[in-house]
Amino acid sequence: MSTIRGTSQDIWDSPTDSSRCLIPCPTNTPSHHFPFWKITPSRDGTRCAIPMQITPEECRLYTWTVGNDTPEISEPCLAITDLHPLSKEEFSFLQHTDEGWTAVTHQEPWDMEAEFAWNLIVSDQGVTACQTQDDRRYTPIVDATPWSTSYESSFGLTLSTASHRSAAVVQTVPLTEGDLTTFLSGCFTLGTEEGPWPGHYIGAFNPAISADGTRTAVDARITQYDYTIIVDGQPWSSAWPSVWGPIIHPDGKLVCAPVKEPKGWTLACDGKPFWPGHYVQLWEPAFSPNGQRIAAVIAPHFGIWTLALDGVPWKSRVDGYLTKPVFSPCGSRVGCTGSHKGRAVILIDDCLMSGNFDKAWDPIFSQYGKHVAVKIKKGPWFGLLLNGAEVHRPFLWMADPFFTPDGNHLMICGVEKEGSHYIYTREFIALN
Amino acid sequence: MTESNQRIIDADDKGLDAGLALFDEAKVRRIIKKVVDEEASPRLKAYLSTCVHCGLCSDSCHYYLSRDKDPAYSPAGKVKECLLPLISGKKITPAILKKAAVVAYTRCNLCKRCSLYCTLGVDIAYLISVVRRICHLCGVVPHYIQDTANSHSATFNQMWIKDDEWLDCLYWQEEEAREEMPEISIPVEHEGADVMYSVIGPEPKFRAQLIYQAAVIMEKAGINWTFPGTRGWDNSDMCMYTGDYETMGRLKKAHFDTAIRLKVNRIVMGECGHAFRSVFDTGNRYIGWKTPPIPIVHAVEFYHELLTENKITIKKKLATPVTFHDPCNIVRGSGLHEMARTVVGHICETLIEMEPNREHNFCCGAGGGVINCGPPFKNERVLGNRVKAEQLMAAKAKGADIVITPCHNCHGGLEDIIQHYGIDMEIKFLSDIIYETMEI
Repeated sequence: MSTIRGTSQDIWDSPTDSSRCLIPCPTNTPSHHFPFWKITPSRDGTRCAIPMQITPEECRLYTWTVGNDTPEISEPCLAITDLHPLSKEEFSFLQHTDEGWTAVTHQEPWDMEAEFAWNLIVSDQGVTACQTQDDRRYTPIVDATPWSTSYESSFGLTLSTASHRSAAVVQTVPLTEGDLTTFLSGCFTLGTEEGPWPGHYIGAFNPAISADGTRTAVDARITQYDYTIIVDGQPWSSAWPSVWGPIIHPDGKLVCAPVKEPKGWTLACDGKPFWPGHYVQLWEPAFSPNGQRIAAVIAPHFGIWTLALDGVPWKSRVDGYLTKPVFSPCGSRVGCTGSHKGRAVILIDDCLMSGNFDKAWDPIFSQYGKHVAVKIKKGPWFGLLLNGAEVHRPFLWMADPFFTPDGNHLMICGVEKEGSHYIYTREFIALN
Repeated sequence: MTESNQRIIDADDKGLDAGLALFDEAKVRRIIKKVVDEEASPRLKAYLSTCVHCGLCSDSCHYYLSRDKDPAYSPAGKVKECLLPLISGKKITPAILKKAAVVAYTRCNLCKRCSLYCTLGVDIAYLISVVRRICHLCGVVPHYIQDTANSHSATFNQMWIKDDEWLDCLYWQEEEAREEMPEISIPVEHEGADVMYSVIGPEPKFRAQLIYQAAVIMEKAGINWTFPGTRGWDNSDMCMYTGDYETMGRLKKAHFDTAIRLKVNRIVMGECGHAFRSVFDTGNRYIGWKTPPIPIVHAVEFYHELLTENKITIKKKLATPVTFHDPCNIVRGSGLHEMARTVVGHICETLIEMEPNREHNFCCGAGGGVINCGPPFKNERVLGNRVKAEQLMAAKAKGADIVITPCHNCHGGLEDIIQHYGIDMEIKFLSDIIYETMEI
């Protein structure tokens, strides 16, 4: 299920009153088979869409606008996948027809029919990209423009946040099963729309691209026993028995990655250890949006997890897991979710919250960190915690909450059930 | 020269040969020191100093029993042949390293039956794994299993399946299933589902019907479930067995990260033994998770839940008498033998037990990555498990026509034994029979 993203004012000019629309189940679909979890709101929440498989050979996209119970219905196709909010009121998705697979954006299919298309992604700027395969050649496509080169395989497609540039791991050398020699000579590298890096590696993973799209990095297996970080095609001067994926500073100047040293895992920056501590594990580093802070998940002891902020471990500990830290837009607050003693927990600013919920999604902060909203689930019901307190009636399904750019409201889009109908609602909570 | 040793010298494997062609004793010694001092100690020292050389482990090993009690095939004998020469401080030659690799990778299934019978609890499978780790770091690994480990490294699955091929298989199986049940779907990337169902690479590659069957079972049981649509769908792990623990860690992180991303309550995994060992014990711990970060249950536990809680209904039990092969990794590894028998009791009229059974059962001979070492070692493997053939023949003589085993490697191992020893038995997964007998 897609989430509502983006904070730019240009998607935000609609009134903040609550509104709803009815989403009936198709008459030949039993209610319990209706995939309401596929309902996807537009970025401003005023519309919602769902692909409905009418028959095994007929799928259509149904799109509703709040306040209007009559949907727009797309032309039939064989299947629709990867539905995402695109711009203010529109969606992008992959569509399978008799001619092949294509992407649809701004209600228009791209001028391509691939044998297969998958992994459609959309940036906050509304750039859409997907992977395609034709005749066993793999080509990423960005806003209907294919990369200049196709490959033996491609994965890990990623988009820059502030440009049209993209990157993915690509396989440039054919490799047949059982060919250990070619495998060890390196078949993988990083590619962009302009072509692949010249170097080849045994493995390349977790591609990263800077916000402006000018810098790229991967973690790479450079020998059977050594891993390092490759930045813009140049490997760091050191190698380690293991590393995790790199992150690029918001201004593009620094690249950081977890590396496994003899004393344990630590965070390295531009090839050199950066944090003083060494841990049983360290992964999922993240820069704050302003680039002034960095946080990562660490295991100070076996089976014990916490966050470290700017190299300093927090006191709160969990015994299950923690997810990648999320900063507030201003960078002053940070949090994540996880589990402790078998229960879902939320960890924000070194305060551990657990309670009457089974699942929790990543915390979402208001622009200056004054408020934090967390989508939760209790049994089959979705709920919302605002600043730690449950504030809304339960939904059957709920999108990630969204703080309006002016900071005055929290938007909630969700689905309820009424008889044989589902009700999509868009509501606002006024903030003080 | 013993016959056993001659077979090691004769072993023709291009993976071993390629690694040995680069043999450098100084490098091998550095690797051994690193593994012994930094990775294995003090567990290694404790086991080696605890063993009193009583030989009680010998009669527990199917290789030893099947090879007419040749001491070279006893568990202690194998440790003596493959580990001790590497850590004794004496000269190491290519022949010594080759012997260590052949013994560790192809003459021990890491089944832990010997550990069960060791009065002092020495984990001999662990000692053999230390040898495999050394061999991996020396680059001396049998070709076929190394290729599987390479597939894991490149694709995060063991069958070189590309990302689109996985999705294409799911869509194809959904179409197949809809011909029987028009309303059925195979959910992909359903965030917030109760169950993430994960399988091993051979299912989409060779046994796609198991995906279809799983979808039907999930549908009839009313399970809120999903398949992942991304890397992390494959729970298998041959890197655990080659000794490539770094790649093993990457595989397990991808698997559990996928479940965490999808916000599922638990992972249900298909009928595989070694994958269970990796996700439940070895792999998760290697990267710092003391227990699996998301609860994970084996198919045996899941089917037990569905049947005992009446989530699916069996219309008519299978009349053909069956026997049940206990997979080492879920029985000695996790004690699921009684649950498995409860499941069999729900779906089959007659269970004829093999002897011995439950945690005392003999390995299929495929486990521990031995079957993945491929054709060069197939004869060694099949001849090394005559006792399993005798178990099966005895069950057949009592009337069993089908052997059930909830493990992919066991299927492969038992197929080879049945073929080699000419036993007229069919092999099935639990899900095969559940699908055949349930109300749809």
